[in-house]
Amino acid sequence: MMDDDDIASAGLRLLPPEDVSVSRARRLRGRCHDELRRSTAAEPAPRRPLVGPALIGAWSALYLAATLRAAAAIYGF
Amino acid sequence: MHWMGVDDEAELVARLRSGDADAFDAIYDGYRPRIFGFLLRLSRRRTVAEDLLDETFLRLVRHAPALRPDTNLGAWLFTVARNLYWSYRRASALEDDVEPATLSLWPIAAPGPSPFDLVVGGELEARLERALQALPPQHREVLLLVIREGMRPSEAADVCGVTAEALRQRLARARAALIRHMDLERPIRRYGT
Repeated sequence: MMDDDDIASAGLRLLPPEDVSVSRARRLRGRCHDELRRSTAAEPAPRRPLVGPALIGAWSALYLAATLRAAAAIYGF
Repeated sequence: MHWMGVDDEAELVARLRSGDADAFDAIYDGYRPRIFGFLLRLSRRRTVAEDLLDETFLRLVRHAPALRPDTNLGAWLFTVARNLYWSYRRASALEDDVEPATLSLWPIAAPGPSPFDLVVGGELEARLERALQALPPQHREVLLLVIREGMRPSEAADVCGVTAEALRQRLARARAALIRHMDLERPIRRYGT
């Protein structure tokens, strides 16, 4: 003998399935295929090495500072 | 809740991450009716459910490369669909205490059983749909996820963003409210018999 809870639960499981129209389902499928192509086509940007450029930049800054200091000493600034 | 075996689903996820359209089609065909039914019964508006379904699957493909290999697709899709519904609700300040009799899954509500009720389901199903519509959405979503979709309470709790204990309490209240609204004391007669 089914009680009310069983009847309600069984009824919920047996409710008819729902779906969008065939044309709408086809349209959404197409949009998703396009988006999927776009989202997976973009390769992740290659990671650029950071240490090398940073060292070169620091060395250039020091060299520039030393040059300016030397120039200032020569011309008496 | 895996709609297919965990290994099969893991393979589908791997293929989807690499942009395989056939893998998407398998997921789309398997989950579309279930997500749509969930959204339709949650929102009670066909056009809203259609729009939210579109956005759910578009989000899946946009996030495809970032999916974890062990993604539970069902839980992922229902979580996104549910969150989209609540965002929609907040944005539209939808009143949910509209008289249930004036609401229908279909754009135009009909008094009493609709032709859809008569053709498809008979009175038990019609009562069930009406009872579902009369419940607050927090109750509808737990009933749909746990009973209709067969999710474990812990999974449904993750989808709804609540603790497992809170979900169990909500489920018990929702079941009781559903039965009350179904009015099972009244005899059920079948149409067309």
